[in-house]
Amino acid sequence: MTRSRGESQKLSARCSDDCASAQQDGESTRHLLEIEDLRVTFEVGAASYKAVDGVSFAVDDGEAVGLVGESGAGKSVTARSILGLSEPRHLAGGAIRYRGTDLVPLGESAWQRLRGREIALIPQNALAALNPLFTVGWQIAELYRVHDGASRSEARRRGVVLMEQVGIPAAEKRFDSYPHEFSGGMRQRVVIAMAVALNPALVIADEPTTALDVTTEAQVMDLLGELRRERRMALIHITHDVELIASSVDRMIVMYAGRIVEAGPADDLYHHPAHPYTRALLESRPSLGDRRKGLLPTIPGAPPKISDIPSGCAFHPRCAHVRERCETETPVLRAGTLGRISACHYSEEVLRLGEVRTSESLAASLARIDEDA
Amino acid sequence: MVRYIAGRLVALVAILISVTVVTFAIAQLSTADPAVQLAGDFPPDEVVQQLREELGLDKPVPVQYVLYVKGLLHGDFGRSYFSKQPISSELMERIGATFELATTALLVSILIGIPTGIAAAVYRNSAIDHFGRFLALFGTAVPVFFLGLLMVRVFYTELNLLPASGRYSLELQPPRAVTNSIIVDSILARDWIVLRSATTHMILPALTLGLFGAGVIARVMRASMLDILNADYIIMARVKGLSFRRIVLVHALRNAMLPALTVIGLTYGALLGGAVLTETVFSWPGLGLYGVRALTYLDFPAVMAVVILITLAYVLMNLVVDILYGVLDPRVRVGA
Repeated sequence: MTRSRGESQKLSARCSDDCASAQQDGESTRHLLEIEDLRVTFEVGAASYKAVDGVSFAVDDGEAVGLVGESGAGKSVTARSILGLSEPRHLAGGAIRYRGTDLVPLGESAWQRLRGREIALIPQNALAALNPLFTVGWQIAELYRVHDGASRSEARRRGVVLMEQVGIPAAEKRFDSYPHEFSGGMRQRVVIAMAVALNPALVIADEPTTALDVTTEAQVMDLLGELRRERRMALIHITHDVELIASSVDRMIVMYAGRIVEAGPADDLYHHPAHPYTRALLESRPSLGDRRKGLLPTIPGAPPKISDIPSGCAFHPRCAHVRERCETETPVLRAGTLGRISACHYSEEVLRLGEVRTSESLAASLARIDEDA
Repeated sequence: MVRYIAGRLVALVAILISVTVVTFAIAQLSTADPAVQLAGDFPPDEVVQQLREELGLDKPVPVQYVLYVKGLLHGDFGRSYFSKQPISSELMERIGATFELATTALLVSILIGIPTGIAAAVYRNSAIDHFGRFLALFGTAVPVFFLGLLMVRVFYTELNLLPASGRYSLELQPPRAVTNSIIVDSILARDWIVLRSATTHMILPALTLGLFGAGVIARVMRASMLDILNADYIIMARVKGLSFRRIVLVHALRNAMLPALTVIGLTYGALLGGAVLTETVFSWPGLGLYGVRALTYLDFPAVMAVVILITLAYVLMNLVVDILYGVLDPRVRVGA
């Protein structure tokens, strides 16, 4: 088997023939991951629905990018495509370039070398993502055995070290435990361990903390940040929770109905959104101070189904700043003032609304409660 | 795990007790008087009376039941009305014959059913999937006796390739009975001629019975495999960069085997007990053939013995399946 030849070099070194042409152009400006005009469609009967409709973005080495949006916005479909999990017949167009190589036309065996070692996934539901019939340690060590050809004992040793690194206590003992014997937080640490086991250059975290309580969520976020810094991994963090990632990612990309509606540095976007949807997301953050008032703030309406995407700007039926033009004319993603990229006809206007009214942050509220107690 | 198995064993005993009650009750309801049946043709009254006392038939019914169960525990099924011989000694060899046939047939079922089911799930709507569907339909829809007769007609009458009746050629001297399986016994005795004869005699009945089980196993295997292949942990296995082959054979197979295991257990039970028609067609001197003869002659003690043995086979198979579940699935061990 080819895998046992200690292929620890990155893809760029490995695919010397295939990628030669790609490497020639723009070596210096090349991104780690570059998605260009990605289109994913699903056919149901005669109808064809656009789950991802012309998405383009890039991720650099070691960079953390937040991919934000409500369910059905196309975040997870985009992520699946980056991992080669979307069926080819659904990929309607576009390119996904990893270190300059387009991954879309890759065959299954090329994908197998890429997955785990170059691009890894932290799944949403750790319990479902772990095979119930194998021990946790076996499932982690499998990566070393399959990709590095490590012996059983060598793989075990490395697995235990890794489990310690992701903060699983008594790792040597827990190595032989089954997934159902772990708590939710520990299971999430296990899948994180599996994702970082082979030091991939890019990790996609698909709502890695949704199943967890707030305290555990904070711990897992800390762990992710720590691992990312230590291992210099790039991260795409998919979430619907802007607040959660605001301080941990470098850039944010906001998706709505299969398109990117806003992108920019996390700080800018968090404090001065240039798209009404981003603004609405930020305004709907729950805070402990709001609780007494009863209802949580929400964006009116529901995210559109891909079978029924509104005309013009897809967000217009729910938008607080909607005008006539929005119903007919689809806004393009464009760079506006302050280097902000937004798909809103009136992004400058939205920007001028100023900082989003924030009640105190969740962390601050929690701290205050602790003091009171 | 120990507690889990202990729990299963208690359930097993309860089932066996109920079966003895039912079989005993049926025998009580029958009009035949065991003493008259055993005493031979036109017996004098004193002989019948004496036999009645010997068999405990003059005692109250509950006492008779206790005596009956006591006998069962000592392996005493009573005496056959038909041969006047102790049933247990008559059954020993027949159990071996049935066990040998059912086990071989089960192996045929598994060896055809499991790979067909896996391939049908992995390559949906391919030729192998259609074959699996045909196999299942064929195995369930075609009566076993018809398939058996067809086999006899083709492979014995027309082609004269394989023998079609009995366990071995009657001109041969069977090896010393150790396990009551002719194949195993002949290997132990290093009697290659008998082994060859026993093996060729096994092919047609085992294939007939095996095809019946293979279809069902293939269908269940396909369904559970399809289900498992959609699981999150299979996607995770792909994301880990594992080969398709490894994902199917290591990650999915073990999970998919769980439902198939239940069907395999039930099939084995059915093969042990329900081989009646096949044994008749192939004159296989097993439990089924013995049961049919016992029924024809209203030989109640023999019928009861066969029913209890078949129940025992089912119950034991279920126990084995339950234990295997525990071995394969760590969650079951804890849940008990």
